[in-house]
Amino acid sequence: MIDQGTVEGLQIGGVVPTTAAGRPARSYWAESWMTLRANRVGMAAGSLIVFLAVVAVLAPFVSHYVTHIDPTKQDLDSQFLGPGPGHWLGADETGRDTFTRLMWGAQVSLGVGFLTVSMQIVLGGGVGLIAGFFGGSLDNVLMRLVDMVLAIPAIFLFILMSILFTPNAVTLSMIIASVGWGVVARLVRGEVLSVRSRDFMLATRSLGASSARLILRHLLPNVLAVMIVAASLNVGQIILAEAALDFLGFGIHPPTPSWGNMLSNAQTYFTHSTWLVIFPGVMIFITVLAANLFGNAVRDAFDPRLR
Amino acid sequence: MLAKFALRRALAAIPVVVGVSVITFVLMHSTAGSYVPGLSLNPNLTAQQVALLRSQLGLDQPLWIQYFDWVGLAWIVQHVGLGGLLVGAHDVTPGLLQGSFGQSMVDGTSVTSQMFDRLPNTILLSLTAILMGIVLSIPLGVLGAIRRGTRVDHLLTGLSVSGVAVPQFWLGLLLILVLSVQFHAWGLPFLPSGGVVTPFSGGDVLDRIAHLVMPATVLSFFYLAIWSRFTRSSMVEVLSQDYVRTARAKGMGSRRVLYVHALRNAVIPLVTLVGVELPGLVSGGLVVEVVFGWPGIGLLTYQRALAYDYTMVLGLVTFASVLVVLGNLLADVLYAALDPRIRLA
Amino acid sequence: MSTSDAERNFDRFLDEWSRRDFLRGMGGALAFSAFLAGGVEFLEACGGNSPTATTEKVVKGGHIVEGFISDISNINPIFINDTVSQTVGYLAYSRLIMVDRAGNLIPDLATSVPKVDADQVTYKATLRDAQWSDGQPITADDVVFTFQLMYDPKYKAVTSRFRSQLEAHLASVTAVDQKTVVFKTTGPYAPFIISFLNIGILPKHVWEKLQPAEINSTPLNQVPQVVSGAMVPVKWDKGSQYQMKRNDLFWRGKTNLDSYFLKVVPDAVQVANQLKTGEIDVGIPDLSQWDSLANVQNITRLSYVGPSFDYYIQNLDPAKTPKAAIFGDSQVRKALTTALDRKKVAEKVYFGLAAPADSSVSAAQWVHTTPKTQYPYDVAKAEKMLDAAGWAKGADGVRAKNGVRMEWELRTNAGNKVRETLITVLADQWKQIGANVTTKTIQFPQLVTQLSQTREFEMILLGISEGLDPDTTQLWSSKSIGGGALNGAAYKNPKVDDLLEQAVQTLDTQKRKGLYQQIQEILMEDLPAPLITYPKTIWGISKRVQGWNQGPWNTYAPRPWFKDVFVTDGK
Repeated sequence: MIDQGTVEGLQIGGVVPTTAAGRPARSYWAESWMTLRANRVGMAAGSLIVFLAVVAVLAPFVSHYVTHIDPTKQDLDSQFLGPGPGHWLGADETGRDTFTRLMWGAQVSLGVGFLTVSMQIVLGGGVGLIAGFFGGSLDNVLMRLVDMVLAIPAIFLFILMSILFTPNAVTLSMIIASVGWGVVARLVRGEVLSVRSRDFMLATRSLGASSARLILRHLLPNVLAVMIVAASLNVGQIILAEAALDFLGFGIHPPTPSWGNMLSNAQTYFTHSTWLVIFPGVMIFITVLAANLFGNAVRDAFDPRLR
Repeated sequence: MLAKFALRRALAAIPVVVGVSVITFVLMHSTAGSYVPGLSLNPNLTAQQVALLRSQLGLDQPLWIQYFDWVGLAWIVQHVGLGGLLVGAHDVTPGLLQGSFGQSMVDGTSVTSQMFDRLPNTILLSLTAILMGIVLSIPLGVLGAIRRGTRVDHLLTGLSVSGVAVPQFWLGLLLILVLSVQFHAWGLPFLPSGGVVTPFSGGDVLDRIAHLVMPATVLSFFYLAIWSRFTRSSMVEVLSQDYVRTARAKGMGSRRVLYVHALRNAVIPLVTLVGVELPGLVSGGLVVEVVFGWPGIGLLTYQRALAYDYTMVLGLVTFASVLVVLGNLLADVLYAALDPRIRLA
Repeated sequence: MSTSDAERNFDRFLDEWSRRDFLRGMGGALAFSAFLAGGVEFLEACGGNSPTATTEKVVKGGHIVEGFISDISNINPIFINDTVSQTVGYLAYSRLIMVDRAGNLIPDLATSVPKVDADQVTYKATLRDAQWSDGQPITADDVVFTFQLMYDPKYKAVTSRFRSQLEAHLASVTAVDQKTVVFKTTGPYAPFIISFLNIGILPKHVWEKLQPAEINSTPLNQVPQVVSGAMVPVKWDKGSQYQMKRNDLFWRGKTNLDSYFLKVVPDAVQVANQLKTGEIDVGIPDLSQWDSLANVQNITRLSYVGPSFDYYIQNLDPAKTPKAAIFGDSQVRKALTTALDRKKVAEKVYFGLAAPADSSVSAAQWVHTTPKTQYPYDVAKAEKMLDAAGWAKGADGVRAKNGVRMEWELRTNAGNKVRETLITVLADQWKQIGANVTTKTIQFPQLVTQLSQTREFEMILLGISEGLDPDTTQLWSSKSIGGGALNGAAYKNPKVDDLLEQAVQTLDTQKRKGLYQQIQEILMEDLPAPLITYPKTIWGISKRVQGWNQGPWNTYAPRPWFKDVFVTDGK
């Protein structure tokens, strides 16, 4: 996870003083992108994530036109079948097809993952920007609020909120986002403070640039980079957290398939079919692994602090 | 000065603790209206009994009064003699400030007694996991650093990256299936699949260790993955530093250089990482506790949340949060003690 | 089977079934030949066997570990309401009378099972000589005190679950002398003995020292120091285990075992695991584990049909849900139950460990009858019924009538894998006839609140564990709607109300049975809450445990045979 320290000031190529002559060799974004492209492991992982996302989106289509198996279609006579012609990855205790359910489960894991990250970025980024930019007592209050939220252990907070509001995918995302945004807020605030204090910023202001211009041209790009890095590094952990919540019974409930609740189901029936325990766990593992690898690659390429 | 720094940090921590208590209290009470206390004990409670219980527990009071009760301010006010200021004629019981978290809504036991009964189990599990993490990640990190770029290094890196991606509950489940159930089926010596000790014959150190092995391993997996990578990279950094090269040039045996100088310097930053985990000591093992039936704070929270025992859950979450704040405070003070620059910040 | 085995089994067979209509119904010879053909399995199916009855020599000493999926909450007899607490509570406290494994009343602290006097309201119980574990004698004062805690206005602050029932039916309880207690009911009340005389008795000399409000929350509710049962509590490691040791002053004599441990196991599947590994000696595993325990060397399996059933409740109250318009139509109710493949469900969802239900009481109840009206599985018939009743299928396959679509939410409690699977299967089976059913699992306390207090639900799936007395007022009477009672469907039938009232006041067993049989016939016509299956209870018992004489009426009940349980290795 992301360390919580403040940011040391480092120049970011691309935020160029307006008085400088000549053109920059390459913009910050283009350079970062090229670094990322060069990272083969990272790109492979990223492609896997994209592939899973596509599978998730197309799951209804595939179910309907290709395999003709609905994730809720039961057949008690096919109970606990192992992998075979009718059921590529086997069937569960009511004869539902595992492969189909894994496909649909991707919707939950990836959907909640992306939605949560987006919420964290928006909320955390917004709070961090405001706190860093306006400073003073507003900054104090906001950061104390962040401290309070971060003091409550994540899983405890999740459980607390899940028993209060029965989660669907959207509310579940909100619940998980309610913890991570604090870390993002701190990072963004730190970045804002660091950029503000640099000489060229004072120079630009003395030249008469308005606040809006300052924010748009100089602050946002740096902050955006930090937020992108934070997002990529977080996705893996969010998917794990969501699966854990489903497993514990606080997240998405059956019959909606999710990898976490498929595993919790499998726990009971492992003597009848070990396949039920293996497949969902493998899916979670490779998805989180891919997300982490891609996140690391993004951080290596985009993190302004590593330049 | 260190003392001033510590005091400042402590004072800054107080509003955080108060804020946490308010947040958890409000969250929990948002459903208090629909919950009937004691129901899992007595589903046959009549409407009058329900009303009686609710008023005994002060649930029909306005929210801010309930908060005052819970925190213990109401008790102070009453004992100072200003009781008339309190609205309603409900029993005012000792609260947080008097050291009481109230009583469970499910079985009437005192929240603090349940908490402190379970706390040693959780601490045992977490500390063991951390120790295992440290003890294993140092040699693994060193190995990766020495054999940098070789297949061994790549294997270790791969393992560590995977370690962070494995769901704890899945790993725990698989371990139970293999090391407990399957081993027993194959007639091999097997590990117990849950609990802290074997009833009656257990209690000795060996038995406790046998019960501790699997949950602690699963919990330490995550730490191991991160810390071994970190140790490796900081070892690599230290090994390439000037003074190390100087020492080698001077003719000190490479072993000596390694263990005496490099290791010491590489391990110091590891302390920071461990410190980061300390605040989460009490809460981090919840999933592991549930899978292995380990009777700690996490499992208690899980079970009581399912039972809508909201005084208990409220107490547990507040308690864990306070520990986090204290842990952070302790960590800040320790770093300040180690690094004077921080005190001036 | 050897001759002596067969003889012993036959003795047990006669013993178990002589008091039942079974023999009379089937004809003795027919019954016995069926028994011979089926052997032990037949007895098992009748709920009467004990696989651990043995000729092995009794070994004194040792311990036993029983696994349970939850921890105790409160073992005080006046509060107990969950199965774990009951199991421990019954070991700790003695009561006036008890129930044996076959469902017969036997005396415990009373010298004989009290019979009602000619006035139909007076019961006299004579206490035997017995002591509390601290040496004090158990007297009539203890009995009177215990009942006062439950119903006397002086102790109103004590929230005993028996309060409302006792206030309604108990007129007085007095100690005539040290050893005699006289109860007077408010009117003839047939369930009196079974409902109230098997509540554990508390020691007055300990509990009178507490303030009424203190009684609700004293630690003595979990670890009492002074008890009268087979075992004395020693230590409670919360969430982990509960330890008890032999009570040397137990009136039945000292138990063979030195100590008893209750171990908390995470779930029913882990119970099976821990049985296999020997971490626990006895326990009730998940139904899905039955097969996996078959060939385990050190385990014996036991299964029996107990007095329980699983059923679904349809909310018939239009004031609570618009779906009552669907369930209010009797054709719909009949079609829904006809579209249920109970046999398949018993086979696949219960892993063969259940029987399809055929009435509104469990098969183990002595008043059980198979009503004339039955609803064998027939999807085509169900569809025709709905067509004829005007529920036409829409374009999306969901039926509707007068603008009301056939869709609702079916709920059950989380944590019970069989039920969770069952609601999914039910929803699917009803989908076949054009109903769109969504499912949801919620926590047990919430579910019970919805059923018995707020009645805000559409359809609920639940299980009932019946008491020994066949009175079902709690389930079907119009007086039992809301306020903590179980008629969540809000079923109102004056004829049934009348029959129920008559039945509790009828002390003649034959007449009572006739009344309950009429009720069963009516309920099969009205179908407010049709039963689905009669699930079996299964046990895994370590081979080192002998004499574990579980029977249908003993599952979570007092175990009169506990004294004779022993472990072969004496450890």
